[in-house]
Amino acid sequence: MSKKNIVLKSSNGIIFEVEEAVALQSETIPYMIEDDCANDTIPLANVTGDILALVIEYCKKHVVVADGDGGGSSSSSQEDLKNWDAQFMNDLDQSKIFNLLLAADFLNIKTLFDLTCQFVADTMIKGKSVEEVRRTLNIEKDYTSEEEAKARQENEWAFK
Amino acid sequence: MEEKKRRGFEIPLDIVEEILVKVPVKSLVRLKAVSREWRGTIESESFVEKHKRYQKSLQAKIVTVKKIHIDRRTVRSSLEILSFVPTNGIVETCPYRIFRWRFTCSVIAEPCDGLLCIHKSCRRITLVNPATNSLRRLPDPTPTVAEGT
Repeated sequence: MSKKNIVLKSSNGIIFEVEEAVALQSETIPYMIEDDCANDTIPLANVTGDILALVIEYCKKHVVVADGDGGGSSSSSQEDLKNWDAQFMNDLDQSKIFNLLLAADFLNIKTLFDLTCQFVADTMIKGKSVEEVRRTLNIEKDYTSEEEAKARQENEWAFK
Repeated sequence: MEEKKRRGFEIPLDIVEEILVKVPVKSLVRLKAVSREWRGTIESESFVEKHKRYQKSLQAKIVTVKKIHIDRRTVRSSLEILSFVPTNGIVETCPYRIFRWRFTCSVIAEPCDGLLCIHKSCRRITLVNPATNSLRRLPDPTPTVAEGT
């Protein structure tokens, strides 16, 4: 059976041609294929080229494993994949991570979205101070000083 | 406009919620102080339900009551939380404050969704949520109920 390719176009006009199985890890792309003509390029207006390249790298890695083991994947390949995921995330800077998170959400790639959420939770939120979290995630403090003091006081044990 | 630009990247709240589901309770409780919006999310019923479902899927936790002898006359109880880690077996972890209270010979009833009911012969009934460190004493049963008549 010949493998069908799908052409994706990033917001800044960069073209990627990928195997159908790679692209179909996104649950959004099938709808776009239905809406458009299947042979056409699928434009992804929300995803820039550098982020799309990362998404495709992730999907390629994950499609191979799903294919190769026919469902009963060995624990070593699962382990390998987990290590690969960890390395993949570790190599990214914060802005790439946030953009990847949005892209995974938009393209609806469940495993990549979960991986990115978990990474943000573990590295930027868990165990961090209120100020650090505000700074990292660009959150405006909307509390008055009294309200904030109250919120801290109520849950004093969690600040130790 | 300029201000918005300078502040840069913001993650939409529905995605923030998905991230917070993966954060342990102690951090969450602290992060209620981040903003009103975060507090609203963290305290919302739908989030609590989601968080509970996710955290339950992670690992089993065992709660035990331990007697602490303060001196010869005073015995107090404390709650300890043990986590079950598949690779290491049972490890003692206590991410939360240890409860200490005066009841001796207290019994922990069947836990439900992480809530514990501690009582002493069906009196002094206290509901404890070890994860949020909150504790609520229920009124003692009326004599009729307590005596079963």
